[in-house]
Amino acid sequence: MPEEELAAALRAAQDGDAAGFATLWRGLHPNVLRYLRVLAGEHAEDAASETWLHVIRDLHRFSGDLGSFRGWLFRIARHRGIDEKRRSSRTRETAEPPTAAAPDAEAEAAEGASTAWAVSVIAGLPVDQAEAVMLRVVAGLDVATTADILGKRPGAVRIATMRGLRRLAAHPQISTRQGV
Amino acid sequence: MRDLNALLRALRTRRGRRIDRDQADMIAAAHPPGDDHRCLAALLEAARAPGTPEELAGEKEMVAAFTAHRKRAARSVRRQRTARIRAALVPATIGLALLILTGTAVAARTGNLPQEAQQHAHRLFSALGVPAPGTGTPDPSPSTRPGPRPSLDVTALTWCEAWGGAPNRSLSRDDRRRLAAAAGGEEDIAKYCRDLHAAASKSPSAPPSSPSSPSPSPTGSPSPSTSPSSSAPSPIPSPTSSPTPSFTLEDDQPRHGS
Repeated sequence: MPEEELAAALRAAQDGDAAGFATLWRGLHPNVLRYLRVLAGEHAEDAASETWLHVIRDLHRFSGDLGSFRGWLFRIARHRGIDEKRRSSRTRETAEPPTAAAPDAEAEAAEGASTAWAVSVIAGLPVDQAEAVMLRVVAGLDVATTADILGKRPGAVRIATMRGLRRLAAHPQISTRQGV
Repeated sequence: MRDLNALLRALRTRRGRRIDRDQADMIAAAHPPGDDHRCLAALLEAARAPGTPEELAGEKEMVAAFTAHRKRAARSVRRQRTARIRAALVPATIGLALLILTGTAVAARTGNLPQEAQQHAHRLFSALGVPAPGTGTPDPSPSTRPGPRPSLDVTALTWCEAWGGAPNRSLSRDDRRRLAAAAGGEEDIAKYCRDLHAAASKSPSAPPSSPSSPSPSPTGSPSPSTSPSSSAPSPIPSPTSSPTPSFTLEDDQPRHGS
């Protein structure tokens, strides 16, 4: 979705326009959901809903352009994702460990590089690298905004992104697909 | 040390696929990572692909939540505005009413209202414990009533003394007219003055009357300082009395005698 269209949709949503909000949601929700899949696993849907309800509630207080809106949105998403994960780990102690769904990934890999497979591969990275890759590469945030959201220094974010990409490049499923 | 670094660099170049920090930044900025990382590029491309229908299934609910929140917010804003107006209006009205009430009460207390309004106000405020002014409705304490009277009595007494023919005093035409007016006529001056003296000697708070009370005698006891000038129509003008008052005195005197 073109950036100008999203920026206009943001302004319309701030003025209370439901169609503008719908456009904004369609443009940004997929990446929010994918980031939360990496962060909160199976609770991503709930965390994404919470995120958008928070945005709806506080949109009248937000002022800024599309770039700062993205930063605000993913900051809320991170908090909601961490909340959801903590809540689920408290209520269901015996739940299965949140490992990346390896068998799924293999099945997906056979079908092709679908989005779900790609996200599950990234989710298999160490958490700091996975978050950095998702926010920098998938959400398209700049180093400063990502560092702000993750509470890290920009240099640390760059290194985490680099290591995550290296690891992905060296991933067996990718390596095996290398020759294809 | 330098050799070690060179070795590491050589190893990296040989491997060829190693991603450095700048390259990671370029990949993050959506630049294709190059032929060496074709598969990584495909993975990232898939990770940031447009939303699938499955991902976008919840649009209707979220837009409905947005609309509902907007309606609620608008309603609460309206409610807040009315509440704010009410919060401002109620004290203002009460303040204004209090101001009018106290203002009227003060005006009634000091007797500054028109006659009819004054009476209405007394009826109204006496119920609230505000006392009526002295000029108004019946007042239990009579001491306030004769307030202006004593000064008149004192003046009238001095006039009477002058009129009564105390040789050392002279009554000017104006004062005589006023005395006559107070007595109700030239003929009643004598009676008026008699009553006045009687009242003055009765009341303890009439200081000027006590030393002059024995003076009604027509001749009086001449005081040593003025007796020569008045008894004899002196060829030498005394410094105390000018010729004119002595003329008026002579002018008036015969009529009293008659």
